[in-house]
Amino acid sequence: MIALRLVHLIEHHSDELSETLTHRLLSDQRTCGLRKVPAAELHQRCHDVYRHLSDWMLAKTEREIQEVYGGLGARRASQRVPLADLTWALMLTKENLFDFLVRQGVHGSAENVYGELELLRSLDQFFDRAIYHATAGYERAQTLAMA
Amino acid sequence: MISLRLVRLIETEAANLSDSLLKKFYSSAHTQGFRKIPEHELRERCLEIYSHLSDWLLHKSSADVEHRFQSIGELRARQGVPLGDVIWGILLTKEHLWSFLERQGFLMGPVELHGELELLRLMDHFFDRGVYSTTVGYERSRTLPRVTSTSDEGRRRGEARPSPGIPSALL
Repeated sequence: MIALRLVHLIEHHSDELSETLTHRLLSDQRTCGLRKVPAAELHQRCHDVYRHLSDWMLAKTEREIQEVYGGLGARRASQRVPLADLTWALMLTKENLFDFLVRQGVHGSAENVYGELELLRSLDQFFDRAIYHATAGYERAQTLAMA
Repeated sequence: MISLRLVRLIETEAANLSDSLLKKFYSSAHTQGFRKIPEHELRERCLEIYSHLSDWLLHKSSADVEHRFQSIGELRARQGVPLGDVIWGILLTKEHLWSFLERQGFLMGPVELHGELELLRLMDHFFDRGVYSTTVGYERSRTLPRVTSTSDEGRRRGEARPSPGIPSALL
């Protein structure tokens, strides 16, 4: 319940979050491969996950996550973005959320710590699946391209 | 201040945790490629990470973690294990710890909860870095010739096995 409050806070600030994330992705050495991706596309992807975070974490099925993130992996493979860059980008997407909570003064407060635990667990499960399916989609695309 | 109580508990239960994790590897549809890895090697990797978790989380530098996981990524690429399987294996290793900690129950006081949150964040950072570095090592190795076993790999590189006292990378 408390975690849901934090998720709605994130969704409410999705514009600000996707701006900061896009900036991080384009300036981080480990994601420089993402400069091959059109800026508008990158921004849209960031915004989509933050705006609908509760959907992603609570409502989407494994199959839906596989479809979207497998497709993302395949697309980045076709754009010749290194897989490691994509992987780091997904991790930064999660990390950006916790930095936001710190800035909001939510992180570590006594009344929110249990909610943060719940949030961390749910976020982890979602992003782990996203990373796995993006990796699998990327590899499938590469295999097809080499065939 | 992270929850050292929980870290010590994990280290004490490392053997049991490793055994149950191995069962998950062999039954998961996403880690079928692990059948290419000698079982003793897999068990050793799991055991060393769980047994020395405090080292990995508190004392090893980011560079140490990255270097070890890159080496593992390179090795798995040469063994022909699909990268998706390797990544899922690392994520399953983390998930296995989470499940164990949940079964132990979290203390309800805010001070203890804060320590547990810090521990989980450290674990998260550690495994995230592991996944990323494994991918880097794996991608780098794609063009190198495959080996059929770690003994072949050892002979090829002329390396000694890691000392038991030094934690080696996970998978």
